Amino acid sequence: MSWEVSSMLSKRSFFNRTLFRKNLTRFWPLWGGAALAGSMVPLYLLLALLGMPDANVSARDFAYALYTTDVYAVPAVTAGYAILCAMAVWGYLYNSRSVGLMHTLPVDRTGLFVTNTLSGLAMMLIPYAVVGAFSCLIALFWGFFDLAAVMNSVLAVAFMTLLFFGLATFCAMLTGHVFMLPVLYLLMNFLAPLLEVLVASLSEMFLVGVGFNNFTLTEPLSPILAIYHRFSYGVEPVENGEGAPYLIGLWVVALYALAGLVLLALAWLLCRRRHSERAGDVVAFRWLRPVFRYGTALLSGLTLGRLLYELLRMALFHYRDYALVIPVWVCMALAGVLGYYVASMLLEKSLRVFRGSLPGVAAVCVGAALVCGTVSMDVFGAERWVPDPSEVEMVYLGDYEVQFSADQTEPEKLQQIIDIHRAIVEDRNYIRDGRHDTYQSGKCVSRWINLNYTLRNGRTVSRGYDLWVTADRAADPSTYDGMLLTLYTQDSTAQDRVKIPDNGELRSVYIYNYNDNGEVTNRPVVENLAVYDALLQDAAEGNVPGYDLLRESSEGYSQLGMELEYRCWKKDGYIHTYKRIEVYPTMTHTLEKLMELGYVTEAEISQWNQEMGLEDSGPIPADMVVQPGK
Amino acid sequence: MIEVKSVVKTFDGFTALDGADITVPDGGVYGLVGPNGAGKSTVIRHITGIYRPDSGQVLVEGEPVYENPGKKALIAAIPDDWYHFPSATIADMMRFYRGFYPAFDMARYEKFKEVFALPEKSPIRRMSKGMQKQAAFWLTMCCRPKYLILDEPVDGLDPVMRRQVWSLMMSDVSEHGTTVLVSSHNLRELEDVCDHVGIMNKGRVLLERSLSDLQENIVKLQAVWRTGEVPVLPGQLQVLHTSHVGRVYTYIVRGRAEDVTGQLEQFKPLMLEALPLSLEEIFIYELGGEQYAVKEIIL
Repeated sequence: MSWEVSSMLSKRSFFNRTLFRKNLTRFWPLWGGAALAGSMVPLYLLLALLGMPDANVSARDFAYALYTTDVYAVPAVTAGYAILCAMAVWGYLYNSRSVGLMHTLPVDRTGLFVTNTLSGLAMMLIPYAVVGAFSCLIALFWGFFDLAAVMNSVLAVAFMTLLFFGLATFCAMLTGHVFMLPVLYLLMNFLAPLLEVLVASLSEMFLVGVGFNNFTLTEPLSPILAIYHRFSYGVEPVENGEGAPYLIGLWVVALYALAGLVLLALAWLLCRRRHSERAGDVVAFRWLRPVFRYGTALLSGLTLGRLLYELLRMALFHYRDYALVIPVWVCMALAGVLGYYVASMLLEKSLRVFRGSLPGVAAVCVGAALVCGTVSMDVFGAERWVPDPSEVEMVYLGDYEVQFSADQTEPEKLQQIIDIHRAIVEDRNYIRDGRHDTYQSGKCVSRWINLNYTLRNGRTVSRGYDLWVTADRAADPSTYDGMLLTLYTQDSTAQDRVKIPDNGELRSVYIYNYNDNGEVTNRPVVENLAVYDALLQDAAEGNVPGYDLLRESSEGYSQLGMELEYRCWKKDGYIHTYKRIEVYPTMTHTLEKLMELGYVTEAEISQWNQEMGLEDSGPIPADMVVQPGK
Repeated sequence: MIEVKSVVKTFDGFTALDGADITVPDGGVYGLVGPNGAGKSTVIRHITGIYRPDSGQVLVEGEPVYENPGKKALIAAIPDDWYHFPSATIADMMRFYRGFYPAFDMARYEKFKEVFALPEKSPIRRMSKGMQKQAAFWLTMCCRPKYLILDEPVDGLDPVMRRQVWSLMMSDVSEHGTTVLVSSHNLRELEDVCDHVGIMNKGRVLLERSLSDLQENIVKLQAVWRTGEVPVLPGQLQVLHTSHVGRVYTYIVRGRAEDVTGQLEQFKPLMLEALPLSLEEIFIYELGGEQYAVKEIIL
């Protein structure tokens, strides 16, 4: 064949069949092993069905099993498997010999990129196709096939494959070292939430009430967290049982699949600009070197710096709950400089990185000072933040024992809770500095108070306060102690203790009590509505006491209690929950009803009251009760 | 024709190519020689489309070769560290190459089974270095390239196989007009096969000429002068090196043998003889001016 002919034959193409075939044949143990491992699930199903000829499996059960797999197993499996496939198809970029061979071939970078991407996607989808086909054949043979559920599952798998392989491919283009690829991939999945945790953790050292609660800010930047949080399944409500399951949030996965496509496009651009000689380098682009160097310094400062400070604190500042700025800065700067040098050594592939590093070290120290200063001085006002009632859609205030909530339909209660928050914030220096003296001075208890806001703009904000509540301060209604006492003991609180929500449906009632050995016995109450009516009657007559703010969590629980199990209808299905109620001697209607129905005897009640020391003083020891305004 | 025009390439501050210029004419064997670190392999990686130049151009038949599959299909290369897939056999690699090079010659592949006598179905990684090199030649020459690029090609081959491989390449050059670009330290071997030579040092091409021009343009003169009458040579003579043993003086002089001899005869030497230089000597003396002189070691 002449060269002119060969030149014509090698016209530009975006796909090379030989390379595709070679990828699949080279890495068949990877996708073959995955297919084999995945096939264990339908194989188990098959054996179970063969062993139980009378088994009654419905299409609903099949859909339920598929959706459970889609929601719980597929995200983690796909995320992990994607990086293996990416390491297989992009591995040639990390070795100068292999990159030499591939880039000498008469295929341009776009052709290599498209072919390798399609190879990787095929290697990811083949195991799913095998397992899915096996499962569908079983379902068809036994007659419980559900086409809609299968199609939904196919979409979910395809979307997640696109997302995670796109992300892994993007990471593959940024680095020139095969061991750096999984590290980078892990960081891309978790860096944003990790930073949120670290910054919150640093804030916690200086600021009252501010700390990590959830990944509300950074969750969208972590695909795996976002999918696990937003992708689930529900069950259609029907009378006398549960209806067909359905997927919730498939559109979120579809959006992330689009992000995966965008990442693939970016990876293609990087692939075209990437230099072959970067094989073996930690980062494949020069502009990424400072990002890697200072990024490592930042992460090191926030993690190792925190660890170092904790060691220092245990030795020198163990009496302090809140940190001093200078020691924290020193620890952060030391750890940051360490991270800077480690990153430099990885970049230079040499231990000799100290010469000329002074400006970089100075930058790290200044950066550590900026971070410490910004957080400790509360530049962004996180510690001082109290919302305006008009901004709030819903607020929860609670501790280990009780939770209060309010929304715009209860403006007075909403204002009451926000006022408590404001009082706590105004007393932040008292909380930060003086509480150890307070603890020594008189009767007080520790309360961990959580405040969770859902704002009208969709944001959620949480605060957590480790407060000392004293009897002296509780007598003053202008302090947070006094305000909390009012909230805990007011009539509406007592009613809320026993009343299930308006949209709730009582499902069952259990009675429990502690026997002489301290063990709990739990019995269902058949006449649940009658007992619940008695509870409501006690609440209406003021027989149900409020919560005792000054009681330690471990003391004074009634030995007799009830558990009301109920369900509420939410937009995605029923939520099952329960209320636990302590039964006090003052709750006469309830006790009478329980005695009448034979669940307790008068002798038992008398014995419990004696053991609890409640016979004379009622449910709450008199010396511990402080009424507002007294 | 392959043209490398003013190519500059730096790696993290180190300049590997500093304005290199090479022209490889069609249908011949071009030898690229130079000391270690001169930039030979870097030039070859540019010509095969692996590296993108920082500046300058690398052209094959007048078109840039980087990201140009049409031109790269005309080129096959054997680097000094030839890569094969970890568990691949020669047959596997043949199928791989066949999928990329449209001119891949299966008849030749079958014919070469007798020439190379390698186990076709055994993993290449289990073969010796020399056998792997033979496998590389087997597969690469079956691609029927118009341009064959070789980086230290016969390292590891035994003398018989070296001769065999060169014979095959030379027959491709003569029968099919294949152009061979070869970099090697084995100057004795290049001398036998090259039409053109380029000498590189420190990322630049010091000189580039046909081998005959090169050999005609530098001459080794041996002269015997009368005692105490060693003349001062004329300033216009470019003397690259002078040495003497007793009364026998040896001069390496740039220029044609007839011209240089004519100029020295005026000093009436007792004996004057012009000798041709080997490629190795040319290499050494040409680079002597680039601070690459062979240093005498006194024990």
